[in-house]
Amino acid sequence: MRLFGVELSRLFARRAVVVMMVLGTLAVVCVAAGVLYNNRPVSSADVATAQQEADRYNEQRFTQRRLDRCIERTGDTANCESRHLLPADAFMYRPQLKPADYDGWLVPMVAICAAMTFLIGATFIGADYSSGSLGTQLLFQPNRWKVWMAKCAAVGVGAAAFTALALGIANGAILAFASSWDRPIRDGLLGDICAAGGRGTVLAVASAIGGLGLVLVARHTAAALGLLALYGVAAEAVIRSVWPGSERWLLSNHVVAFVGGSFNRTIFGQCDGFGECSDVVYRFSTGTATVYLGLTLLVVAVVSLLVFVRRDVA
Amino acid sequence: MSDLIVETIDLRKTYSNRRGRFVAVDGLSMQVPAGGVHGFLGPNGSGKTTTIRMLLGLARASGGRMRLFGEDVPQHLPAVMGRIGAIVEQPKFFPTFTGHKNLSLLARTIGVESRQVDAVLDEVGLGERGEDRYKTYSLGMKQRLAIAATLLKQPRLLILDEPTNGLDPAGIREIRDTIVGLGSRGVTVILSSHILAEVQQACDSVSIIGHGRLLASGSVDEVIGDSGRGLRVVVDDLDRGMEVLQGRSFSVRREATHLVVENAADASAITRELAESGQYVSELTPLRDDLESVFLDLTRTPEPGDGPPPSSASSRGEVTT
Repeated sequence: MRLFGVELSRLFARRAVVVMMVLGTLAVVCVAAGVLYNNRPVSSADVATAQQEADRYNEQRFTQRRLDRCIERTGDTANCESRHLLPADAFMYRPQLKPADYDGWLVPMVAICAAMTFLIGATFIGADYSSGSLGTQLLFQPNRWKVWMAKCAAVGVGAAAFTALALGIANGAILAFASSWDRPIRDGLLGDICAAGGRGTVLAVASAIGGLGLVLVARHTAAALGLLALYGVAAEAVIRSVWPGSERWLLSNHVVAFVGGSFNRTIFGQCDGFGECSDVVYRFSTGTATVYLGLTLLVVAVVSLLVFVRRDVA
Repeated sequence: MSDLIVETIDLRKTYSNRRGRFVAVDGLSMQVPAGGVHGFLGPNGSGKTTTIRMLLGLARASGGRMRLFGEDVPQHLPAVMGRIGAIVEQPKFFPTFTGHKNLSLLARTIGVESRQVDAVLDEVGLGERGEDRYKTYSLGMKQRLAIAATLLKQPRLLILDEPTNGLDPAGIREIRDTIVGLGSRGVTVILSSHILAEVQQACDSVSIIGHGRLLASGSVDEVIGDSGRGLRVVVDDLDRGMEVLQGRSFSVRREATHLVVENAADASAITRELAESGQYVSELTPLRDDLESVFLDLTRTPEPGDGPPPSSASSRGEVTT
């Protein structure tokens, strides 16, 4: 416990870690601000403008001709007007905020937090290596298992605190605005968002430990960051192109399923070796994603622990 | 408990890389008794730092056994590490933390109160600079901070690997005084250094290694050799003096400015014989090896056609070749 406290102090005493946490929180808040701006309520001026555009459309000659033909053919004026005349809502160019669709913004927020916590975990142990202070630390606590556990616990707690704070601020703001805009908030929605945010926090903690573990194996922060960048930018696209059946194994699908809940992904026109093509639907469930991500983290953690315990430290 | 504070038995360390296998430490058996300052000498690449790193658990041994305070390490290293302070190669701290912050984190690791940090900073003369960032420190200040870190544990064994690297003469003297002071307070100090004059002044005993093997070990006097290399004698007429001494069965060699008498067990016999023949001695000095010449003799790389290792080594303390 004492060692954990020391590592936690060391984590938060590093300026780079604090800066990354602040930047991550700002990025998540920016996502929330974007959601709120793009889904802001319409004003009376917006309604008047939309009504004018609707009236202009409805009064056009071809619209009237189609309406007249429909009425001549069916005699049902109301039905024909509903089919051929557009309401003012059709000219409202932005949707209204729907808190029930929280996964649409929560997943990107969690992705930002997870990327940041990966960086935090990687640079935390990377700084230990690059400064050489890891050797000095081991002269005061030679039990490397304990050191590894304490460092993982520290980055885990730091990642959890940062992610919970960032998601809490951002989602709290969205819900507060939704409430003040009289948008429908169904019973249990707050609990669902908290549960999803909790899973996102768990993912961010796993990401931090994964970043730490990868740097312990690679010994250089740059190597772990390069791996992250490569995977994020190109790896999945390349894997998809060379292995059509790889969809069920890709990390991003399981991350979305873990945070946002179960979903189906349809791959259109996937062909087999005989030239027969058909649409393929992949089902990603939260349970499967939990197992997948848990096993991935376990492998990284065990390998990094074994490497750390056995490897010479400069 | 054994009175040996450090013991290695057939210690080995090999590294493998693409170019093959490299033996850094090759069956090193060494003993350091408790108390005093012990010099640990060897040329670059001889395996000193690797040995120290293995003793401290920073590197894994490929074979052999090690004991600290009579306990097998690395198995029981956590039990004995609280009594060991060490600086390996150079001070290594977080550059962006202050000296005080760096030490505070280490102190908390071993459950030492933070006021002890202030005390050790004052002890090494960094009390005024404790709140400055480590990266702003001079090399001497970094060395002193590293020594302060070792003092946090109030160690019984202090292992210092090249603690005077990069220091100016005043800094070297300061560190030497600190080491001697610690040794006199009952702390066993193992000092690895290239500055042999410093080692000779500070150390009670030495071990010399080369190519990962122990070449000589013992007290400084034992390693240098008690018998010395004869006497340097200066008289007005060197030829006449040489004639007189050779006539009295002394083995004498003439140098440009003096005579060297190699089998002089009794210096008074030389002065008496010369005085009786009218040659008065103006200078008589014992010629002795210093640690540097012994070190160079033991660790020089053999030239092609060289014979076995220097015979003089076999008379120096406990010798292994």
